[in-house]
Amino acid sequence: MKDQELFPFPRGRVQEADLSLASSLREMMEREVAAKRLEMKEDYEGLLRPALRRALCETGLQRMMWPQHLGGEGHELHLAPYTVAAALEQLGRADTGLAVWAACGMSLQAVLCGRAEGDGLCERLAPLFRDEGDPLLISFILPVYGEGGDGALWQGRRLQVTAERTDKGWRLNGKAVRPLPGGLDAGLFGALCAVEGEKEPAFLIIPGDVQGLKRGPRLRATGLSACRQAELDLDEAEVPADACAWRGDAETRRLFCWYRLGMAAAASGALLAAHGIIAEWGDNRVIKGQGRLFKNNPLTASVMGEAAQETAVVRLLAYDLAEMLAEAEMRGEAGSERLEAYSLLLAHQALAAAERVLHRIMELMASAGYAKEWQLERYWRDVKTVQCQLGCVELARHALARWFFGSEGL
Amino acid sequence: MSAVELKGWEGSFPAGLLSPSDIMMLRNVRSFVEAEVLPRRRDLEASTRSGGRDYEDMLARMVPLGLQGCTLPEERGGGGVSSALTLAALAEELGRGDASLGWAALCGEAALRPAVRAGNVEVLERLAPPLCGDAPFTGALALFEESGCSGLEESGQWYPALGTRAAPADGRWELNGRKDRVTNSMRAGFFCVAAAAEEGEGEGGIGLFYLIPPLEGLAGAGERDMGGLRGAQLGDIELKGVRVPSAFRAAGPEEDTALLEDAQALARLLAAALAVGAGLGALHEALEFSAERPAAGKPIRQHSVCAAILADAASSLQAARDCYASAAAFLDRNTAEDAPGHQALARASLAKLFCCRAAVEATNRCMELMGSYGYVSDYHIEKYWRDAKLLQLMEGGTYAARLDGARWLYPFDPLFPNPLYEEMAGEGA
Repeated sequence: MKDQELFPFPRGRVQEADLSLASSLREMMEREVAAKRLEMKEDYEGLLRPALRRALCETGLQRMMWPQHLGGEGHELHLAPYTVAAALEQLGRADTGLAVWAACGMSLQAVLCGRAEGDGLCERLAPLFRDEGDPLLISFILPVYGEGGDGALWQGRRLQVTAERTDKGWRLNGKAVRPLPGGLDAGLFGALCAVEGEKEPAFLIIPGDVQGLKRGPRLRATGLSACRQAELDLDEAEVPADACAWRGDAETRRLFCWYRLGMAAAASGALLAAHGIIAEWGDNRVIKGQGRLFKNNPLTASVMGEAAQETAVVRLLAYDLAEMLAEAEMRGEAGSERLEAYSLLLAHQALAAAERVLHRIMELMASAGYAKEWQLERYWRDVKTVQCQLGCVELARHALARWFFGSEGL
Repeated sequence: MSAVELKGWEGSFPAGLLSPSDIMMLRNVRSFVEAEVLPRRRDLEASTRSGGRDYEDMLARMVPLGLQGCTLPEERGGGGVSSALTLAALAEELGRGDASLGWAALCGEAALRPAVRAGNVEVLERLAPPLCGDAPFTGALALFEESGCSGLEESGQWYPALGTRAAPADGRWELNGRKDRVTNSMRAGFFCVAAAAEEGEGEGGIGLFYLIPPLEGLAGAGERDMGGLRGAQLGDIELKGVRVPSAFRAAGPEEDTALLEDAQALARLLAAALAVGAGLGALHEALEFSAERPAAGKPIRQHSVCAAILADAASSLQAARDCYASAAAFLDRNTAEDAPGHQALARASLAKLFCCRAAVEATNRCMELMGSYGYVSDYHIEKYWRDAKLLQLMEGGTYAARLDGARWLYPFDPLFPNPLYEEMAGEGA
C-alpha cells in the first residue's frame, strides 16, 4: 500500500482543492527533488532553489492568501490552515527546508492579508508575493535569549533590532542579528523591534535590499541546507512609516501560530519520508543466516510499528492544530494566548516525536542510517535544526506552565 | 568556571588501575587535545569538504604522543600498553577534541590486537617498524559487509554473514569479497580482514587476515559521505584475488573467532569512550555558553532549569564513564584469564549501548539549551551532536549491541530453531 492509503488525509477537514494541491506538490517534489537527489548529490542546494520556485510561485502558494484585488488568490483564512498543512507536509516530505521557507511566507501572508483595502504596506508588498519568476523568501528577526546588552527584552528575550522614529519613518540598528530560518537569501525580513522610548515593540517589514543592511558570510549549520544562514548588521537602515505591520502581542502570537503549524506539517512530512525509506529497506533487505526479510524480524518490526504509530499521531497533531487555527481565524481569536500555547505545545510535540522516530530508524539502519546516500540523516539534522529554531524546549515548557498554571517562569 | 572535575578520569578510576606511564601518556594527550585539537576542531572537519588534508596533518603531529603502536609489545619497540582501560581513557580524551580523529588514531590498535594476542610473530615483525616510525601509520578492522540489517545478522553468527572468502592457493591465502564501513579506508597501512576460511565449519571457520597494502587486488572502493565522523574515512574496500602469506592469518580455526570477538569488543569499548568524550565536549560548550550568555536578567546557567539540564548531562556522562571503565576492566581480566571472548564482547556492547545513549542525550539537550546557536558551526556543539550519533550507529549499531549484550545473560541464538516458523514456511512453499 502507498503511504497515502496508510496515512490518509483527515477528509472531513481537508477540502478537495487541498487534496489536489497536495497531490500536485507531491508529484512535483518527486520529480524535482527526490528523483534528482543522487545526480545532484554534489550540489544538493542547487537542486532546492528551482524546486522552491516551482513550489511557491507556480502553484500559487506564495500569493495564496492575498486578496484578489491585490493580485492574490483570496483563499479564506478560516480554510487556509488545512491548505498549509496539506501543502507543507508534501514540501517537508521532499526537504524540510522547503517547508520551512514556505511556512515563513505563508505565516506573514496570513497576518497581513486581512488588512483593510488601501493599506499602503500591503499594496507595496503584494507585487513581491505575486512575482512568478523568483520565490520571495522571508525570514523573521525574533527575540533571542543568550544575548547581552542594554536593549529591550520581550518575554525575557533580547530584541535584536532597535527602531527609532524619524520624520520619514523608522531608523533601524542591530548588530550580528540572526534571522530565521536563514539570513543569506531572504528577500524580506519581518522583525520584532524594540522601539526607542516606548515599551511596546513594533513588527517592521524590512526589504532585503534596504540601504544599511549588510549580510555577513554564510554560517555553516547542522541542517536545513535550503535555508542558508548568515548574520545581518543593520546600520541606520531606514524604512518608511508604514513598514510597521503591527504593534502589540496579539498579531505576533498569531504569526507564531501559523509558523508553528508549518513546523508541525514539516515534521509530518519528514516522518512520511522516513516511512518511505524504512519501508523500502524492510521490503528488500534479507537478514543473512536467518534468510528472513528485515521487516519480518520481530525486533525490527517492533520499531517499524512504533515509527508508523508516531507518524500517524504527528499527522493528526498537525491537522488538529490546523483545525484549531481555522476555528480561531473564523472567530477572530487567532492571536489569543490560548491558541499560542496550544500551537507551541503541538509543534514541539510533533517535532519531538519526529526526532525520536528518526533516531530510532537511524539505529535500525545502523551504518546506512548515517550515510548521506540514504537521505535519512538529512531529515534527522533538519528536524533537529527546526526544533532548535522553534526555541528551547525548556522555554516552551515555561510558556506552557504560564498558560496552564499561571507560573511566572523565567 | 572550572570544568576540571569533568575531565577527571584520575578521580573516576580506582587508584592503581592506570600505571604511571599510562597516566603520563594520558596527560600528554590531554595537553595535545587542548593545545592543538580544540582550537582547530572546526577547521579539521571543514577541510574534508574542500579536499584538505588537515586530518592527515593532525595525525602526523600526533605521532610523538606515542599512541601509534602503543599496544605493540615493548620488546618489539611498541608502547606495551596492554590495558583496555588506558586505551578507553585515551579515547575519551581524544573524543573531547574530535571523535573522528580519535577513532582514526586508535582503530589501528583494535586491528592490531588479534596479532598481539595471538603472538603472530610474522605480522608483528612486519608491522613493528612502521608503527614505531616517525611517519603516521595506522590500521583498520575490516569486519562488516554490505547487509544493512542493523548488524542483526552478525550477533553471534558472523560466519553466515560473511561473503568474503579466503581459500588456500599455492601455499598462501587468496581473499575475494568486499568490506564496507572500514575506518581509515584510504589511509590505513594495514587491514585486519574477517573472511570465511573453512567451508562448513560454522563460526569456527572464520579467519582473520592481515593485509598490508599495496597488494594486488586490494583497492579502496570509495569513502562514504556521512553526516559526521568525517575524519575517520569510513569507506569500502574491495578484495579481488588478494594473496597473503599463510602466516598472515592471525591464528587459526576457532582461535580467530575468539580473536574477532575480542577485537570487536575493544572497538566497541573505544567507541563508547569516544562518545563519552564527545558528550563531555558538548557539555563544556554548553557550560561556557550558558555562563557568558544572559537570559531574563542573569546568566543562563544561573537559572535552575538550566542547571538541572547540565546536571542531568553530567550525571549521565559520569555514569557512562563508570560503565566503560567497568567493561574495560572486564576486558582486561578476560585477557588475563582467557575467558570466553563473547563475554567481553557482551560487556563492551552494553557499555557502548549505554555510553552512546548518554552521549546522544547529553549532546541533544546541550544543543537545545543553546537554541539557535546550537545548530550553527560557529559553535562546536552541533559537531559533537552529529559525532555522538554516528558513534552510536557504527561498529554494529545499537541492535547488534543489544543482542550481543544479551549474550552476557544467556546463550542467545538468533538462529534458534523455530519449528512453527519452519512449518509455516513449508506451507507457504
